[in-house]
Amino acid sequence: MSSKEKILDRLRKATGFERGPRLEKVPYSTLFCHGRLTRDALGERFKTAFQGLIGELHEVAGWEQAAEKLLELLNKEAGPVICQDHPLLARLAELNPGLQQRFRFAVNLRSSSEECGHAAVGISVADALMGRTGSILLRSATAGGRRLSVLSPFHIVVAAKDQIIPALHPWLEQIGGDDSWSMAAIISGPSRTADIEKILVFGAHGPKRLALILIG
Amino acid sequence: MIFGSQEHHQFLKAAREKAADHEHGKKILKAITNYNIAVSAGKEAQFCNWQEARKVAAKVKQSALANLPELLETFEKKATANGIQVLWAEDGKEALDQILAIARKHGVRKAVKSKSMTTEEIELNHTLAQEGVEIWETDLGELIVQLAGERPYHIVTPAMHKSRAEIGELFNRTLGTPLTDSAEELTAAARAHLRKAFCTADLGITGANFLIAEEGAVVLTENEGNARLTTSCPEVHVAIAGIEKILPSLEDLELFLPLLATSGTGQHITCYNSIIRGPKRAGEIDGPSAMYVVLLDNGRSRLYADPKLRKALTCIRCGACLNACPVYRTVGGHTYNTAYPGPIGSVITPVMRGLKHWHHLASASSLCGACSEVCPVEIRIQEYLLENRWSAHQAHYTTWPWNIGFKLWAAVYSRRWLLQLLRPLMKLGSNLAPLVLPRALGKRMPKMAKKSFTELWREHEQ
Repeated sequence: MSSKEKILDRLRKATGFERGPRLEKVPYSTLFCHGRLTRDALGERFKTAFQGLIGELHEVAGWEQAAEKLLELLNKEAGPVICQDHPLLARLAELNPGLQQRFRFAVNLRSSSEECGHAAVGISVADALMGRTGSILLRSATAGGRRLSVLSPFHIVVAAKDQIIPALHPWLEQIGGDDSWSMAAIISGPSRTADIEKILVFGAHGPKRLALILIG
Repeated sequence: MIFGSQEHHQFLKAAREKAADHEHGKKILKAITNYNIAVSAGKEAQFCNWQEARKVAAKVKQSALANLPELLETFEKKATANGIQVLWAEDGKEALDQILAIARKHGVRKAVKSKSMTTEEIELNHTLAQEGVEIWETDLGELIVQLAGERPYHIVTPAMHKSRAEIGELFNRTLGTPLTDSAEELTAAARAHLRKAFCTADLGITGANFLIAEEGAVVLTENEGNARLTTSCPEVHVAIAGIEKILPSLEDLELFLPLLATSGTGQHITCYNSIIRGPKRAGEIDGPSAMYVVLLDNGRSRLYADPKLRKALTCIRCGACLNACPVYRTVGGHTYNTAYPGPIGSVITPVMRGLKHWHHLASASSLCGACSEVCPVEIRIQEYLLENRWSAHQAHYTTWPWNIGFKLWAAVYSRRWLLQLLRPLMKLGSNLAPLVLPRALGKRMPKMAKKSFTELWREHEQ
């Protein structure tokens, strides 16, 4: 008997269980304080939570302003950027020649990790924004891969207000049915640690700064 | 002159030393106080009814446990379809052999590792090092204890027992970092040092906080981003997980990610939660080209087979019971000398590693139940500790002085008339004890009451 068979055999021989049909699903959102909010309240909750996680929030009215804001943030950073290949970001570059210039000298996403690590800023879009916790939800296939959102010291996400969802549930359903991705991530604020005397320090291994340009 | 296993004696010796170490006590108290403040605030801010959340979580986990064989098979099927190679290991040795084989197959010279208690359990680092693989812990706390040559002190905060100054001195000595005690500078030093490791490692090793059966996925919860980098940069990813880590579906993460974060650190949700469904897919830019999951038994099926203990397998490894335990607080994590310390460790270690040498851990408890009160999945830990004590007694592992002592005690205390008869003798003994025993012990001997309750009652009735 293989190890698998031996292990499963031991488990199956155990008695005293009520095996059988799975539990009826509980709507988990009812357990949370901010589990049931109106659309507007959810928007406010997201902003509060995101900033509470020490995320940098930049609200802009439309696409031109988003492009301007992105360029403004990039101009404060000396090193090269690493940018996801996405129509939304391409659109921003079209709207703003300064941005286009910056993107032209971007680090190639397919380079070695060491190369990619030289980038000062990583720019990506998001699948959705989790209202309750202020989190960014994304998938490797649609957010420029696994390394983009974690290698550089500064991660900028461009997203729209209508991407704010009340709970993980709709996003989990969506990604469950999609075959394209190998890693899905829930990002809640910049990287942090409290392993040294419980003192909170940012930028442990992931980005030290996380910014969101929120359109709409 | 207590007989008993070597592990038992080591435990008692270490416990005595640690209990007398006031510096250690101060550090631990500070860490636990901060934890308590963060966690109670976190619970209130996130859950409108924490007790309800615990109940629901307990039910979900227990239901998953009841269906464990089916869920494991579903996990294997889905994971395999995702391109993950699933391996089953009956014990630590088999898991080590499997991981070594993977390392050899892929010509691994350097590995990075995110925090995993399962790898501590099987002592992976030691084996890989012997194979000539350079292995780096990437969680800051784990890196600290690795550099210090120590075991992790706690399952969530491994370097809880070290002060900033100590860590500064350690980094200066081992990494060449300029001497400092600033947490910021030390963290930056670790970041810079490990960047190189992430970018040049051939293999990334992780545990799994959860295994999602229906999706064939591994879920990792962290704050630093080291698990993200461990699973993004190297070519090969190996995840090793206990078989009890199974959750049925992705939707369950809606509850369990916040639950684990709140109990573990007081956060609403940890910084990075990753759902990893396999190696890099066609069309993806980066990611490992090969992924393996090792499903580890190593005594868990023994726990599973015992109806009285099996709920201990619903543990989500949050560490709350460690922080609540007055014994843990006093003797510290290293005293237990095992991968899983504290209350839950004292339940599972005797079963997983052998009752004969580890049952003393079940007695490292005053059965106060603080652990059970804080457990987010309602594990009644002190009941299981009692169960282990009973099993040890039945297996004749308890020492003969202990056995005789308890037999005598039971014989006298279950016979009221005999107790009454012996009272004058016991009173005499109690008064003489401080004169005969060593001073410290003598001071702590309880004094017998002048009159027994029966005598007082009789007087009252008259």
